[in-house]
Amino acid sequence: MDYKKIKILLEKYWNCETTLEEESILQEYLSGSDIPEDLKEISPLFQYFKSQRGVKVSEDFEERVINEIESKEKKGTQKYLHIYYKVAAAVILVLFFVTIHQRFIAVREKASVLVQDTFEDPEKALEETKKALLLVSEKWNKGKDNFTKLSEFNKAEKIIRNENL
Amino acid sequence: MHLKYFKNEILPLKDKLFRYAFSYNKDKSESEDIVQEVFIRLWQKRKNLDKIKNIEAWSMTITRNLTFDKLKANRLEFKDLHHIEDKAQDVFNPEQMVEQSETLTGIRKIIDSLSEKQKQVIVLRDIEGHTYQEIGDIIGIDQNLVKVTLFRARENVRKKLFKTDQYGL
Repeated sequence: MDYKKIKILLEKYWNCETTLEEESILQEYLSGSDIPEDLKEISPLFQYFKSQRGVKVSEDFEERVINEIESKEKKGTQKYLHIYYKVAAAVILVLFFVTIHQRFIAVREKASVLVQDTFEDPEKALEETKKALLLVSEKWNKGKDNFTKLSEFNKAEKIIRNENL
Repeated sequence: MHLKYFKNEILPLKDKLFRYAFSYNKDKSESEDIVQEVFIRLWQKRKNLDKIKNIEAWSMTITRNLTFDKLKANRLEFKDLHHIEDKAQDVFNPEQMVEQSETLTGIRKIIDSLSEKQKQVIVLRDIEGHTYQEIGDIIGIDQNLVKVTLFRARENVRKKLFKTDQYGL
């Protein structure tokens, strides 16, 4: 690189008028070994910039980052899996209670049908009740006649026993 | 974004981000932790990365914020060069240490003595090669102000450099 050009570029550099490409040319030239005497005082600055670009992370850094990301991903998936299990358990529980509730309602409806009134008119109901009671009493009296015959039989049995004594 | 894309396109920023964090933090392990955190945040944001205009600038901003948060947490004074100088040695191997001779250490001291903004701008421009626009995006200032700050930073460096040279400091 022409010395004069470098001098011009350097002046532009101090005034912040250089482009990135021009700064790169300057840095390359001034961090090298073959530098004119009057530019030697400035070269350590560019050597410093160059040396700083050589500062790097440890060799295993990338591996550590990838491992960290993968372990975080794994934890994340497990977390989601746990959520799915919880949701499934909640759904099953809700379904169970809904079924129980429906059964309960069905049983209650059936019971209410059993105790439902059959008559709307009280007089008619009374009439029917009387009829039913008459029927019962009629049957009862019929049965009672048979019991009278039975008691005759008992009397006869007692007499026979007394004679034997 | 797949892990393969992440490995090929995003992870190569690692050294750049590390250098930036390290230029302030001076602790290799802490600086690497900061960069790792930046990558994890990038990965977590992978579905929205297309909304970020410049991923590199965005990563730099996050690195910058985390670095300064860490510095605040450590209650580390920027100007406390004696304290941070010892830590800075860890990153260079013996060969590099020789290269990092007194002259380069002197330059580092000059850069570290700049104001926080001036140092940020000169590091981002002269070491990392960012445009004024990108630097503005990273540190959140107008690009004209970036240019003014860079001008002052270089002027300070120039003055201190010649002064150092003159007195052999």
